[in-house]
Amino acid sequence: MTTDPRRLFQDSSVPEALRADLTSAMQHDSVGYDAAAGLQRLEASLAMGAGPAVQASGGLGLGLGLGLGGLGVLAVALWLGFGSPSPEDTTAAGAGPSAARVDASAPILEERGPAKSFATRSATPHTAEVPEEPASLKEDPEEESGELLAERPAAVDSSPPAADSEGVHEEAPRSARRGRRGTDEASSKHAAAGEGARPDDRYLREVRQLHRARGSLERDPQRALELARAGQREFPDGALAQEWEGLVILSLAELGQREEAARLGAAFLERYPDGPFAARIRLALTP
Amino acid sequence: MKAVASQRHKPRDGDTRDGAAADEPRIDAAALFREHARFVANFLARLGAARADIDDLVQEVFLVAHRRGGFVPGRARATTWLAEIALRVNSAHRRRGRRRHEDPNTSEIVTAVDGGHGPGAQAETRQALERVQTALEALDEPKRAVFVLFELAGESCESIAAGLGIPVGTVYSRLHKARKLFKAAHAKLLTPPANAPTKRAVGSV
Repeated sequence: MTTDPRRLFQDSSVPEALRADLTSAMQHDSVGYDAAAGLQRLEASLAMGAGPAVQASGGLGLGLGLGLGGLGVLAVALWLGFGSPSPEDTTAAGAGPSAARVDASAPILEERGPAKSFATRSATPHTAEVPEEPASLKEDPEEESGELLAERPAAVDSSPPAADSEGVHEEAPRSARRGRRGTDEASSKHAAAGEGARPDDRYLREVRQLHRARGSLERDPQRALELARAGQREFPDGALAQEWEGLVILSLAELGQREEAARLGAAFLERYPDGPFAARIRLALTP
Repeated sequence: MKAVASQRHKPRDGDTRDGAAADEPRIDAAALFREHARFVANFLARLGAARADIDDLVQEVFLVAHRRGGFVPGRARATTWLAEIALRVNSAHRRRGRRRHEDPNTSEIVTAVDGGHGPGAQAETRQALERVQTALEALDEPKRAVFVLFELAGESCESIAAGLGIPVGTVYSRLHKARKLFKAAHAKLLTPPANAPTKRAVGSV
């Protein structure tokens, strides 16, 4: 175990101007980011089968769409061409467009290339070449190559990339299958099937139901309220408890039940003062 | 965290991804997003991602996090684990050639610093952030990632090593070089060009 070097902003031997700039950079975000909107978008993506961000804006979204379409065609061609697919192939092809949408998720596909070589290279650990814990910062000749970080083999015990890529590869179609068959009725049956449901099935079901409830907020706040309360009952310890509660408050505010909204909102904001929905709830409760 | 307890996610048999035991609690993507979306957005910006792409890239990072089955606490922290995903997503995005051709510095920093203190303080902060971002441009991505995580995000070298999947010695080495490059680049930004006309010279014309 070595001690980390002193950070530059704390190092009195470093010019004051540099320390001041680093301190500013530590204290201020370099980019504004709307976490509430981002979380809603993520939930929507997960609810639709954990695929790529289907509402992606701009070029990235277009890129995803094109990539997906191409892979969908390829999947169908392979299925037709090979006649008797394996069970996994059958599932993937049977999932149709939905599978294509997820399986072809751009970041995952982009990762597969380097990930593969990564996995291969992992067989020759890098640790032998680089001193594990130098007493101080010093030059590492190997670093001169400026190789891409993503190409470095994993040498630390919990380093995930190689195995992870396999996980990514396998997870996507499974998620797609879940997403496609995931009507609310089917989900309810799945829930009724008992506690045997896999935790991630339950999570995705919760995400889907939240997404549906949230979609009702503007056009039918009473419905949104009912769905949110049902969600709170069904997923009392769910990963999205904060979102369910926030949705109840926003629905109440939309319905004009301001007293109850304010009461619940105050408790919510006390617990999650900096949560992604705090700003929206504060705004909704402003008279 | 509630989500940790509630999302006990049992991976498939034999699944030892992330080096985690099969019954390790996992933090799901939504919980990670709530806690760390701003960190990821800022990390991507400091890596040089264009403002217009950051929303999409953040989404990709957390979708990958979801597909990995969430985060298992261990030697890496959630932030450094997400940073590794962000690096890969950003690299993939750059390889696709979809990077917007815009100055990554100014528009982002203006957005982030708006609001808060008086205009003078805002301007100073903006200039400081611009200098830091410009100096970061002198570093290649691996060094920049380590520098940002250590110097700006306050992560430990061990956590960075575990998160990025590199030896801790490599983290020290990258940090050492990144500091040299960053200091030199920053010093240049503070030094006016030698042939720039002085005020007196301008005034005497």
